[in-house]
Amino acid sequence: MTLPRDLLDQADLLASKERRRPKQASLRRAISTAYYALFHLLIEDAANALSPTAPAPLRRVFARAFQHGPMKTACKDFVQANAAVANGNVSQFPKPVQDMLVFPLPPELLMVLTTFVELQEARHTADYDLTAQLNRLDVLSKILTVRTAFAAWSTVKKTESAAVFMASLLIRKDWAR
Amino acid sequence: MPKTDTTERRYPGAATDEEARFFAQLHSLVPLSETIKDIHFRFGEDSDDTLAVWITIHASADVSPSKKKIAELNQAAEKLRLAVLNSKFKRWPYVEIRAE
Repeated sequence: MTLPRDLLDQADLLASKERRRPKQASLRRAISTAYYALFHLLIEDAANALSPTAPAPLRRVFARAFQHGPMKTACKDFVQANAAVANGNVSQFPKPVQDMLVFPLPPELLMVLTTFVELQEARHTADYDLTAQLNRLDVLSKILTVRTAFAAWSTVKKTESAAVFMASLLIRKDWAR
Repeated sequence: MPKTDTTERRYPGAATDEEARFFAQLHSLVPLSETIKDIHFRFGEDSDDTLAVWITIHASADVSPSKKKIAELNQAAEKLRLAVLNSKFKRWPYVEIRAE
């Protein structure tokens, strides 16, 4: 579990590297690193939850199977399903999946998922949009949000809703079959 | 001629009139302060080509912002984010803070 935390600490270091005027390169790498901290936290726990324990290297193979885009979509699905149910509508999940979830979903889980979506989009901007001007206040605020998401995830990752979410990261596309 | 309400989008990801009204009243959720100077909404599509809104919180500039200030901004961001997510509009909120 050290890589995600080390990445998050490194994001903080990058964001505060220059005392006065932060370099765009430092801020861009800070955002990207904060995103990867959360990405690795989720795939590590999901691989541990979904993979058989033996042979041991199988977990690493599982961890390699997670993809950024589908993970973001899965996060959006859960948050929007929660909102749909709260507004008196049905979620877009197939019934067997819907039946495994207890609505409202835990706020800690929703917080992790919204943070993942927000940070992935921010990483996209930081890595590819050279017209964007990042600022330290925004970057530090996003890093703090990821730190809060780490704490929220630790309280919720053993719940059944989190288990369904972790499974969805790999099988969401096919679970309506 | 009176302006008619429209649900059509003027450009990809543009807000409908109904959405524009909803977002205009979101300003009341976060009172402006020494830290929070203004709030703006920008509509479009995100990197997945799905409807999104970028909420920009304009904050006072600070080379070394305190944790208290960041927490205040994050609290405002969370309020706005939740209001959008819990609305009937399927538009994903992204919050950015701009220091000026």
